[in-house]
Amino acid sequence: MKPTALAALAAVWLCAANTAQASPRLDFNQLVDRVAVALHCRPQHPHLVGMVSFFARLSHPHEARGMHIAIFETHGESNLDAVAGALDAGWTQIIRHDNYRDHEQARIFVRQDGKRFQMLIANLDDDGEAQLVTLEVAPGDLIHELDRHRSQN
Amino acid sequence: MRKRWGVLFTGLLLAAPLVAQQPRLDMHLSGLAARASEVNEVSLDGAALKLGMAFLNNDSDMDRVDRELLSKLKGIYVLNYEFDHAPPELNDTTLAPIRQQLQARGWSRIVTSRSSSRRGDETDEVYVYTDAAGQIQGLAVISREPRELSVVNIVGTIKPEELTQLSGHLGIPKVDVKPKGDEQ
Repeated sequence: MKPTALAALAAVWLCAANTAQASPRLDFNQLVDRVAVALHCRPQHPHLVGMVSFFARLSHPHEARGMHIAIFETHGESNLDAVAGALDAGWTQIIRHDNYRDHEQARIFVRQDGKRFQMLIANLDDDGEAQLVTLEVAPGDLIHELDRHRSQN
Repeated sequence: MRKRWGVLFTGLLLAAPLVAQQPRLDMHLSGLAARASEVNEVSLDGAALKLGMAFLNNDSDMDRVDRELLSKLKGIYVLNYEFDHAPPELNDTTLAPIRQQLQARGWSRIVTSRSSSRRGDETDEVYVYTDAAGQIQGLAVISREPRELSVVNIVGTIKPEELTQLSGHLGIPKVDVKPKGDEQ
């Protein structure tokens, strides 16, 4: 291989590595493992939920993409604040909801990935079941889609 | 060399109060969350505001929010506590950490609204933060009911009357913005 071709290949490889760093991919399985450790529980029905996640990823409701779902059965007093500790840098919590009356909790985190947002929704029901949903949304596309839907109605 | 470090250190010390005088409030109220039956926090800043805009536009309950208004904002922060029983500590002492910040230079109260109902007294206060040029760069709302407390901090260029467009959405309580002279 000629030195110039080798240099070009190296340049392409370096650019690809930089691009990958600029827009971090979400490793959902790794995230599920971390959240499971944080909440001291294990994910439930991984195959069934995996199938639901697969079909969810095929559809793009309101321009949302890359949807993943996981369900956990927690034991005792769990606190979704632990989820924040399981996330990589770059995630920002935008919504916190704690209903101590009904023992319900919810957290919404976002992380920017170029023009799109990775969104993580964690919910804990009174029966101890926790749901973790991640998806990608583009605010611009979302607004456009909602405007279109509104004008049709 | 030591003299240079001394000058730098003094400069940082002098700059610290200026940095503290920002339209962004520290809304941490220790102890109150433990007494609340429901806690809601909204923290939208930077690019996440675009996401908030999308949610606002999906709200069929409201007229279209002026996107220009939202584009001028840098952050929307809301803290809301609901209580099953009116906590005795829900008074001015509880709010002292926030009030101290609102007493700093730049902040001024423009609205105080008091009303009474069967549930008890309700108080809404609206503060604005203006920069040296007189431009409003921030807004704060303290809304207090016997069993509910909401603190809102909006950072960015916003007119008090524009608050009505946002009130009732994104966790911001409905606030009747009247001039200070209309106090009850």
